[in-house]
Amino acid sequence: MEIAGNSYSILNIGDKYFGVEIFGVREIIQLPKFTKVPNTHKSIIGVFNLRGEIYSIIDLRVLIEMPANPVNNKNLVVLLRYESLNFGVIVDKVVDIVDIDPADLQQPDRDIPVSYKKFVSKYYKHDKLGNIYILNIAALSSAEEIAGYRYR
Amino acid sequence: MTKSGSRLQRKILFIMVPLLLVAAILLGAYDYYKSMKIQQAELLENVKNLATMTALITKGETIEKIQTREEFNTIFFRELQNQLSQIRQHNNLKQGSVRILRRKGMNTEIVVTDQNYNAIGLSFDFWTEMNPAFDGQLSGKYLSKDGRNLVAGIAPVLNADLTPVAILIIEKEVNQTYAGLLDFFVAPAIASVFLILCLFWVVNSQGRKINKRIYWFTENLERVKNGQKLSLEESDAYLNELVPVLTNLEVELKGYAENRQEREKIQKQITALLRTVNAAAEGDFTQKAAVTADTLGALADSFNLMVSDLSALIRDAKNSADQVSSSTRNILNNIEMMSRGAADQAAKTEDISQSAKEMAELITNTNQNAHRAAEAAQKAKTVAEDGSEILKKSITGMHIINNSVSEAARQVGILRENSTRIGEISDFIRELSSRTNLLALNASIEAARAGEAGRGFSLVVEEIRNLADRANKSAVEISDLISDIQNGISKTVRAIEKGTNEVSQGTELVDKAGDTFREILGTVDISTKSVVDISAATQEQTKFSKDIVSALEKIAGIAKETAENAKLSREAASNLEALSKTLNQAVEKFRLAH
Repeated sequence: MEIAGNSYSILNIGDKYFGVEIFGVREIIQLPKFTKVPNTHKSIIGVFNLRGEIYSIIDLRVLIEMPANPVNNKNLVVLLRYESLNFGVIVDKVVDIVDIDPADLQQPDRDIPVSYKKFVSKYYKHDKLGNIYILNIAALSSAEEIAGYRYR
Repeated sequence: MTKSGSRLQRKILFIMVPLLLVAAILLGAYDYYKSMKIQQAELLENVKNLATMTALITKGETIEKIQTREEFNTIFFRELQNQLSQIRQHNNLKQGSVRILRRKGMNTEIVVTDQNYNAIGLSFDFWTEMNPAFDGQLSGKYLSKDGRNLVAGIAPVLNADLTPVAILIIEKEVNQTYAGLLDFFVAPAIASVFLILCLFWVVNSQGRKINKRIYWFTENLERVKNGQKLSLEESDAYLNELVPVLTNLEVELKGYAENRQEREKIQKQITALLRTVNAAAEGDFTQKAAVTADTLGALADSFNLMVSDLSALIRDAKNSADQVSSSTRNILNNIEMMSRGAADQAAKTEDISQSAKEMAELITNTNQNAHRAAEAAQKAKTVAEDGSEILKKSITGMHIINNSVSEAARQVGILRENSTRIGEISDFIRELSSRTNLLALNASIEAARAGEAGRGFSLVVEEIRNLADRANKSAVEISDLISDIQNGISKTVRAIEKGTNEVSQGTELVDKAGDTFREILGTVDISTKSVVDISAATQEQTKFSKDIVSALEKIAGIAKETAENAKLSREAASNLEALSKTLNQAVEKFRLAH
């Protein structure tokens, strides 16, 4: 592993792999006990309290229109922070932390599904795992589905 | 001279004839008695043979035991009765009787008779001569009944074991005799003929003497007439002779003249009588002497009477001789049959004896087999007892196995609990490793964020992640192993449960086998007892078969004796036949008036 300016955490949801810039990741935890919140978007599974801060849990499958899959206690939650907004994305596994040369990142093209384009900024072709879609945390945090529940 | 001759004749007639007759009758009576004795002895001999046959026919045992008259009316007694009537026919017992008697108190009782069924059960006279027969000896008796003379032969009737149980009486009339009769009548006939010949000679010689004298006188008278001179001595003698002669002659001539006709008549009569007597002497009894009112007539009458009596007697004798001849033929036939029967019997008895011996051998074999069976049964008992003992031990063993299996089941239960605990522990380890991995992930994120400062730390975190991965893999392996172990334990538990069931079934089976062994022991006991009984029975059978063989040998002996007796009887009958032939020839000489 090489320490560079651009380290990414590789997440696995279903059969897809996603990358998140490591500076956006606050912590990775097991799925905690959470509270369902009524009258919210269906991509928000619930909210929970970790060390005095409130986080909402987002199901990326709903947002990028992947087949739905019920959550279980093996799921992990990757806690992200953008500006003052804390939220967690539910994933199946955290595969690894890798350094990617920015030159290897490619712009999204027509091979990427349309529903991904809203939240994916670039993608990277991995030798073993195939396409790794780099998530745009800013786009995620500003998504109308999530932004409406921002705490302050 | 003739007067003295006729006086002599009369003397002879009146003294000698009765004397000779009496002597002849006495001789005849003696012979008659003697022949009767001979006949009795012969009859006894016959009765002996018949009695032996009868003993074989009756086979004994029932005669003693029979009580009611209905019991006599059985097939067996009917056959016996037929047998008796055959005895009667074969022996020509026209006037006699055949009956079997048994003792009844001081008297005797008729058991079987061939003629009158109603006589069965009636009392019969007791004769002292019966005693030897009841003791198994032969005896005989001479008796007269209703003016008839009888000879009775008494023989014992023997049981199968040759003990006398009854007696057989055969009565035969005596006046069927022949030898006595022959002597009785031929002797006086010969005596009478001799007497008459004497009489004839006397009369004849007296007549010739008178004639000689007359011739002498006539010759001398002729010489005187012819002028011949007689010498003095001659004339003196002549005169001496002549005077009394002439005196006598005068008297005689006087009488002669008176009786001349009568004498001629007498002469004729005598000639006729002599012819008749001569004929009789030659055996011709058809002629009869003329009967006149004088002395000669009386003699002729007596002679006629005698001849007719003799004729009757000779006819009787002839009849008797014929009867004897036919009887003898019957007896010969009977004896032939008897002889053949005895030979048959001997041969068959030999066969039976052989069979009985074979049977005895078979019985001995059976006895040996029974002994062997008894030994085998004893062995079977011992084996069954051993088996029972072994079975008891195996029941104990089964209980021990049952306990062991229960213990094993308990231990396996504990093992299952322990393995479950190990599974829990390995789950915990996996959880731990997963958390450690997560912590390492977070730490590596922190290290990445720290940049160059977190570089060393990220290496440590990397190692920790590796360790956590390995721990997780090991925990997964342990989990797999534990689940394998738990599968094995489940199988073991099932096997043990099955084993427990099988052990309890086995225990049940062994218990049943124990019961079966007890039953076998009982059955073997019974069969041992039965075999011992069989052995005892065959021993008795051996004894019985030996008895049978010895009885058969006795019977064979009796048959042999019967055959010998038949031979003797045949000889006796042949003698009798010869005698009857002789008698017939003797009697044939006589011609009889009808």
